Amino acid sequence: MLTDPRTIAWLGPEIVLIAAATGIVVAGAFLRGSAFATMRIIAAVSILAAGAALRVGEANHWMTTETGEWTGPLVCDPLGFLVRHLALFAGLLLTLMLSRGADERDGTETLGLILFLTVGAMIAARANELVLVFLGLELVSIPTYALLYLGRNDRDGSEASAKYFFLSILSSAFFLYGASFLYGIAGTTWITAPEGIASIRDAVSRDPQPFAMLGLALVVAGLGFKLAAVPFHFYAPDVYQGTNHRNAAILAVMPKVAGLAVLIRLVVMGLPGVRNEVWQLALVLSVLTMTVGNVCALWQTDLRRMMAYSSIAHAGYLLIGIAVGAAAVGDPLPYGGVAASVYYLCVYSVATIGLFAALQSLGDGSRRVDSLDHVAGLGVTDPWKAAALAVFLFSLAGIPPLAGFWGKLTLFTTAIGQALRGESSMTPWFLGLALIAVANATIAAAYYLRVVGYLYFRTPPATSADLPSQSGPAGGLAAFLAAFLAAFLVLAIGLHQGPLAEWADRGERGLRALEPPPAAAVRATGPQHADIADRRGSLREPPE
Amino acid sequence: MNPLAYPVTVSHYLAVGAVLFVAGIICMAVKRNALGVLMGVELVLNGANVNFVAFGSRVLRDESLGLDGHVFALFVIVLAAAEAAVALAIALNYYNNHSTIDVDQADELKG
Repeated sequence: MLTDPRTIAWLGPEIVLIAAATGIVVAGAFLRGSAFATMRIIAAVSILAAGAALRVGEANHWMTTETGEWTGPLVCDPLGFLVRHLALFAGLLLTLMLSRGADERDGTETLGLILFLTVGAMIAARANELVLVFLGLELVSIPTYALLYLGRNDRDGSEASAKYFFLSILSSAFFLYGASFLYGIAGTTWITAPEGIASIRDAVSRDPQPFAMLGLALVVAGLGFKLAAVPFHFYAPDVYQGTNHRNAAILAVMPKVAGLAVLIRLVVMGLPGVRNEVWQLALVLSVLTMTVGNVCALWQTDLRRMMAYSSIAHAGYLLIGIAVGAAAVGDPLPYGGVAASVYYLCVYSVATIGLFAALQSLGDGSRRVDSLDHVAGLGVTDPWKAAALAVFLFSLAGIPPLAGFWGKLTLFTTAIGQALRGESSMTPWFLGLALIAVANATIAAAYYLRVVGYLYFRTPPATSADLPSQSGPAGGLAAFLAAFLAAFLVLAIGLHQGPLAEWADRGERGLRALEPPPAAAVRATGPQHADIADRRGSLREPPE
Repeated sequence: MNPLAYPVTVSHYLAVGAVLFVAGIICMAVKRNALGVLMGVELVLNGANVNFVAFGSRVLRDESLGLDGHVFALFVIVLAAAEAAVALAIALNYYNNHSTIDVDQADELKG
C-alpha cells in the first residue's frame, strides 16, 4: 500500500492535542484541587498551538493550488481544513465553558476528554479510509460517554448516560456492519483513490450490487444517529435533559461535525455508484428530521429538551445539502450542496455552543437555569447575557442579518437550484424539499422567539427562593467569555459572510477535484477543473 | 451428495456474521439487565468482525488485497474492550443511583 510519509507530518495538530490531553490527565492525577485553572490555560493554549500547526503544516500544499491533493489515508484538502478549524474552535469554546464549581473535582479529566474528542472530530474530518473513519467517530463517542458520566451524577444523569451509551454503541455497530460490506465489495478500505488503485468508490461505481445498498443503508443509519436524524433521534431529548449544559453543547455539536464530514466523504463522494439511492434517502430523512424536530420543540418548557429538538431540526437542514450534493455528484456543474451544508454546520455549531455557554454562565450557585421560567425577565436582571442569548436564538431561527439566515438561505437556494437545473425527474422532489424547509423555518421561529419573549417580556421571579437550589456546575467568567466570542462570531459571519462562504465553496470544489473528471472535455480544458462557464457547454451524462 | 463436502465460502461466514449481528440486536432489545445488554453489544460488534475477517481472508478469496480486514478487526476488538470498560462504569453509576441495573427503570426523562 502506498502511504505518503507526509501523512504523519500532516497529523501535527492532532499530535499536539493528544500529547496535551495525555499530559493533562496524567498530571491531574497528582495535582488535586488547585490545578484546574492552570490546566484549563494549558488546554486552551494547546488548542491554539494546534490551530497554528494546522495553518503552518498545510499552508504549502494546497493553499497555492486551491484544490487539494490525494494523499492516502488522510486527505489534505480545503474541506478538511475548514472542518478541523471548526472542531478546534468548538473545542476551545468547550474548554472555556467548563465551570469552576462542580467541574473542579474532575476538571482535569474533563479537559483531557474534551481535547480527545476534538481530535476525534478532526480525524473524522479528513479520513479517507474506513479504519480511520471508524476510529475518528469512536474517538468522539467514547470520551462523550465518560463526560456524560462525569458531568452529572444523579438519577437523571445516570439514566441519560446509560441511554446514550447503549444507543450510540448500537449505531457504531450498524456503521461497522455496513462498512464491512463496503470493504467486502471493494477488497480495500480506501474510500477514494486515483485511477488505477482499488477503492470503494471505483468498486461500487463499476458494479452497484445489492450489497452496496445494504452497506449504504447501514452506514447511513449509523451516521444518522451521530447527526440525530429521525428515526435515530429519540435518544436526544432525554439525554440532553438529563445532563448539564456543557455536555448538551458537546452532544449537539461534536458528533454532528464528525458525522457530517464522514457523510460527505464516504456517502456523497465515496458512493457515486448508488447516488440516486443516496439523494432519495437523504431527502426523505431530511424532510422527516426537520419536521419532527421543529414540531416537537413547540411545546417544550425545558430549555435543554427544546434545544435537543432544535438540534434534531438542524440536522434536517444539514441533510438538505447532503441530498443536493449527492444528486449533483458526477455532474460537471457543482451546485453547492456540500458547501451549503458545511457552511450551515459552522454557523449552527457556533450559535449552539454559544447558547449553552450563555446558559451555563447564568448559573451562579444559587440559581439553576433549566426551564423557560428560569430565564424569565433576564433582559432586566442581566442584560448582557440576555442579549447574547437573543443573538444566538435569532441566528438559529434564521433572522437576517445574523449568520443563521445566510446558512438557511444558501441551503434553500441550492435545493431550488438543483430542482431547476438537475435532471427533470428530480425537480418535484427538490422543489417540495425547499418548500417544506421554508415552512419549517417558520415553525422554528415560533419556539425560538418564544424564548426571546420570556427573556424580555416576562417579569423575573419575585424572589430567588422561587428558583430551585443549585446542584449543577456554577457558571463563570470563562463561560461568559465563550458566549461573547461565539456571539461576536455569529454577528461577524452574519455581516460579512464572504470568507466562510468562500472556504465552504473551496471545500466542495476541492472534493470535486479529487474525483476523476467526468467528461473528456473537462480533462482537455484544465488539469483539475475548468471554469464553470466553460463546462456549461459540455454538459455530459455522469459516469455509470 | 454430501453437503459437508462442499467447500466453505465467504457466504457461509457472512451467514454466521448476520446471525451474530441479529442475535446481538435481539439481545439488546429484550434484555432488561444492563450487563445483558452489554453482551448484546459484544455480539453485534463481533458479527461485523466476522464479516471483516471473512472478506479479508486469503484462503476464501483469491483477489483479497492485503490485511485491511484483519487490521480493522483488531481495531474493533480494542475499541470493544475500551467501550466495555466505560460501560461497566456507567452500569455501576446506574446501580448507585437506582439500586438496580434493570434498564427498564430508566423512564424518568420524558415529555
